[in-house]
Amino acid sequence: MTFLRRGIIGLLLAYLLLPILMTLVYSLSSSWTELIPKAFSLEAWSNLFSDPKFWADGGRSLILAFSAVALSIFFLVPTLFAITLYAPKLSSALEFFSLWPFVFPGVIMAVGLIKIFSTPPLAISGTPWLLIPAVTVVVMPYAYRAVANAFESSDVRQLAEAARSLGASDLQILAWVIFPTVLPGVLSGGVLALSAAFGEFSLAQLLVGSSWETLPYYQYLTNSQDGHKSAAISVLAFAIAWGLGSFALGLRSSDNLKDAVTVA
Amino acid sequence: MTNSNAISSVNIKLENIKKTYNGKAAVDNVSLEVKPGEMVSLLGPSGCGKTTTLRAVAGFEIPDSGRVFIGDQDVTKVAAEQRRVGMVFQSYALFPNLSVAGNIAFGLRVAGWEAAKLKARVSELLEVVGLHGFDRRSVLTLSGGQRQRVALARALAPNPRVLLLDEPLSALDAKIRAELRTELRRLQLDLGITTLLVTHDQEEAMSMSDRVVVMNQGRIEQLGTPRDLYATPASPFVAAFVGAMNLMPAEALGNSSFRVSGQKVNIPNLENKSGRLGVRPEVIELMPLEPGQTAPLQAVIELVTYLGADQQVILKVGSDTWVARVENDQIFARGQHVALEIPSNAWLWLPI
Repeated sequence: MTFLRRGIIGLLLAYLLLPILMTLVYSLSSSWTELIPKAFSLEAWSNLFSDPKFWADGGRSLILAFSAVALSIFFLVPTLFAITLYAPKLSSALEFFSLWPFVFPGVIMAVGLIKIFSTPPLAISGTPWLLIPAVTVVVMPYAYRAVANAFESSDVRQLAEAARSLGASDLQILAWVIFPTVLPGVLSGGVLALSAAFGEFSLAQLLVGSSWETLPYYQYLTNSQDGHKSAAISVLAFAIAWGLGSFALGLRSSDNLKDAVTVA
Repeated sequence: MTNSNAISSVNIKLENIKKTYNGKAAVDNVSLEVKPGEMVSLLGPSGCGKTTTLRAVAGFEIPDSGRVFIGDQDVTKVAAEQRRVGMVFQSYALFPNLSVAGNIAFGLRVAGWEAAKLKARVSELLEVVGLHGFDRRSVLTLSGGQRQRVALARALAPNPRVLLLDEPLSALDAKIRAELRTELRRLQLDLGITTLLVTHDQEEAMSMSDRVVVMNQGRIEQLGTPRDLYATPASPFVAAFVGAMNLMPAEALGNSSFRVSGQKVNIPNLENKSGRLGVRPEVIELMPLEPGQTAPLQAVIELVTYLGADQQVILKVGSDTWVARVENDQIFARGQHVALEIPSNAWLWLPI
């Protein structure tokens, strides 16, 4: 039994990790036989890190990811707060609508946006001012889940009533009670949204392309020039996602610790 | 208690409050006055409308009709945040991101108190609820009893006009509950703050309040002092809900005798009408019967439960089951035949 279980887990791990491992090996090799690398070098990595464009594009990707996720949280928390308090019946409708960005392919959305925003009065196509709101919409399903879970795990209604009986207005309740209460949960759940925004390619390519280059676009350009360098970018992206993920898990387990104390 | 804590007490008045959910009346024409400085409990089973009534005073429910007054002010349509009431919840509802002091100071911050005054008020309240030195602790590290003390301090800090307690002790374990019950009542009397308490626990209601309102199906069944409710329950519901009561259908046989549990008893001081007869377990005395001996009211012992201070005896009287609480020095056995002695003024007559 344990043998079987270990075997299955081992296979799964191999299936998940092998491609990344091989990508890492490829990024570290300089020449290759039919099957295995002939010689190793750090050239791809040093090339990558010494390219100022990489840093600039990576920075833009971070700006994009964090602002899109922050924006979606900024919109979602007050929305869910209002719905929880004043229209709980609408919550299932909201949940349904939150999934819509999954339904539309990014290409369709991009074409639609370009059509609308290429002409005055709002000719912002090709600028981050269009990309960031667009990506905000794309990550909305992930962010919605994160915010909704955080709302469910803390009794928002009761907290709001307590604050209200102490004289607080809706705005004060939102800013002083609800945001700080749900934020740890939202952040730990929001990592998925962050990675989705960080890796968003189709919108980035179609809406801004080279005029506001992000890391996925940089990798797309690198792909045709230097496979080793492209592999290095993949490994790096994975490392970043993994780091964010463990950070989120850390947040969550400290949440659990609080719960354990609550029970005791 | 220092004088700065003294609160100028005001009354709470409810006039014909009605609240309907999905065509069902949750609160059905409730009128009630809590006098200045008084503590009144709303007691009843879940769904009886007690919580909705309390929430109407807090401003979390707007009644369909009727009016709510706090002091001279008609607050029926006043927003909850404008009412200046202190509220304590069953689940504490402490702000998890704030420290103990941060929680207590919340209402003061909202009201814009200056820093020095605010700090003094917070430490004054920490003292009042016995949490001196806890100010910087996270509320997540506190026990249930400590959390509810913080919640109480938080509710009292901005000098509310009245205090509303929504099942404040129900989430605590028995020992802490008894402790906090006494403390809460003492504090309420010291402060002289008009208080409305919601509870489903009759012992809590009886022990803490000046008057108790027994509610059932959205209506007030009876309103009175704990003593009144216990001695003269107005309905079978109150009789059964407040304290324990043996309550049996009784047939009037004329000549001041009743047939109850298949036996004929003589009760001279009750009006001879068919209805129900009630008797509290602690007024019943049990006398062992020798074999062959009979008594006007007799029973067979089914079960004896020793409770320390006294003992509970389950009796089979005819085909009914009665409960008696008797002193713990008598030894009874299962199956033993006993005579029941009940002073005739201890019987209660109630309608069906």
